[in-house]
Amino acid sequence: MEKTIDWIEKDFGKLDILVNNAGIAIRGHVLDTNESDWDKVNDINSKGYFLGTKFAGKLMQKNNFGSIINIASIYAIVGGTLSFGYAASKGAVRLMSKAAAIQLAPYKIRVNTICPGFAATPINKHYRLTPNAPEVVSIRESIPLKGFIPADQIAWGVVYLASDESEWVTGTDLLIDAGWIAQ
Amino acid sequence: MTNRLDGKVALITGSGGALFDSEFGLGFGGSSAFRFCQEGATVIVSDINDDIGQQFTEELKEKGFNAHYKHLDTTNETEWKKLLIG
Amino acid sequence: MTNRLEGKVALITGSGGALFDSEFGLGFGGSSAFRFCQEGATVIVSDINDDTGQQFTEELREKGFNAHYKHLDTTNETEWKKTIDWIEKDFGKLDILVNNAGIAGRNDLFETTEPDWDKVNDINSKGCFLGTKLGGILMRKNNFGSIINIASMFGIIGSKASLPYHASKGAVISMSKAAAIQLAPYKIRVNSVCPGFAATPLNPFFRTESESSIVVGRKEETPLKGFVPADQIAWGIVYLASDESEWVTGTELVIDGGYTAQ
Repeated sequence: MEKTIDWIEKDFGKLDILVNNAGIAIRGHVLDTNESDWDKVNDINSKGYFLGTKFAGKLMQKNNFGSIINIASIYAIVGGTLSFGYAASKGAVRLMSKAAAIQLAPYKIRVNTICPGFAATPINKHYRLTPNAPEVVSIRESIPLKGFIPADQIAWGVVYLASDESEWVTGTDLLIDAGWIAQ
Repeated sequence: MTNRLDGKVALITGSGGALFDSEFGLGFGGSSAFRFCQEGATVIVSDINDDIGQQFTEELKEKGFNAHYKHLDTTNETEWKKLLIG
Repeated sequence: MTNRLEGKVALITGSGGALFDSEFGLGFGGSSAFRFCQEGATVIVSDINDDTGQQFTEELREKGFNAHYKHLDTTNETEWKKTIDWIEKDFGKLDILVNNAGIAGRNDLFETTEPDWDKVNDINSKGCFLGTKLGGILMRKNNFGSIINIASMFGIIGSKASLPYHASKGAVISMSKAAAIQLAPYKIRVNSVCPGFAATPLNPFFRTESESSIVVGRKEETPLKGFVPADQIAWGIVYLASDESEWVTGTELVIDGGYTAQ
């Protein structure tokens, strides 16, 4: 199939909002993480966001306007037993958002991070496939609001950060985690 | 439907991995694309899964939304460059 | 006008201190009351400034909104009980509580006295505790609620400003997280909002002394170069009050123009 790579500026004249969302989850203890796992997760989750911020920033700069929303994770804030390269990639997202917020503020380009908690998305299909598996039950029980976060809740957070209602919000993290980090 | 993103052009990476009736629902990207459309934005869905991505974009268009699909491998600087600044 | 808060009953403390055409504009509370009304909520404006509060509520009603006024000194548990009883009797429930009433404090640490400490912490911190407790008791009956506590970026970082103020706002952020955990079984969410430097009636000198080195400095130190409009805080509160944030609890929403990111 033909890949339709095009020029957003040509077709749409501008870019107001970029959501860096593409990501993968690779689980693994530090002692079991090999170099290729590390490279893969950091390429997609971290380098991909850098490239997006750079090129979208260049286009947004022309208009002196823009909002970049980077999807990170609660594992950008705390560590866990079964994620290492993933945690590194998400921690990188959170701090590169803050650095970009400062560096792009002169062009009125805002950059923020969303940190979702445990969410029922296609990436985590085991939450639905095996809801009674001990691992899934123990995650659910560890969440103060006792359940997995619907993807739509993340979407509403993204809408808020994309809209002019958050014109003065930049360089911060919006946690949508049902209280998990607060405990 | 309101208009909190009226007139805005938005690119959402990794938003073409699932369809409305996919077994495990939409992900963060797809859900955001849908809400952005509802709020009045022009939405560019992008993904490396071109088949599903295009089909999802069609589903958005059938709902009357202003949605477009572009292939984008976010790890590739050349693709970003071509997509955004030519 | 949309309907993101349709059918919801909301109490906003300290929201009656200014009018629409007041010299320094509406504060966080008043701006929130206005946006809540626009989004379809029944809004209870409360304050200790009854004259202005009642007048502001009239202004909202003249715009066709469902607004009510109630006197409330947030440092007084008896007044809280009366207010919450009245809300239960007249409105049947409470969906949203915005603990917004607050004051600033004296800056020089060595000049700060015990009464200074008590006053700032009574209003900013104890008032927030009493609201969370009494509001929580009514919300618990419905297994539903959203409590939004107005903290400050000065609850996160230090500065040369009032030490008791920093302490009180740090307490607000921390008690919001504890309340989030303790009220989660009742589906009551608790979050805080941390504004940066904002041009509100509480900070009139941001406008009256706009040329002074302190005011210019604060503007320059904010990456987005300016003061945060009260309306921006109001929109953040709308988000946290609405069902769009049904799964957001125990966190702080920072609205500071990038100040704390640097």
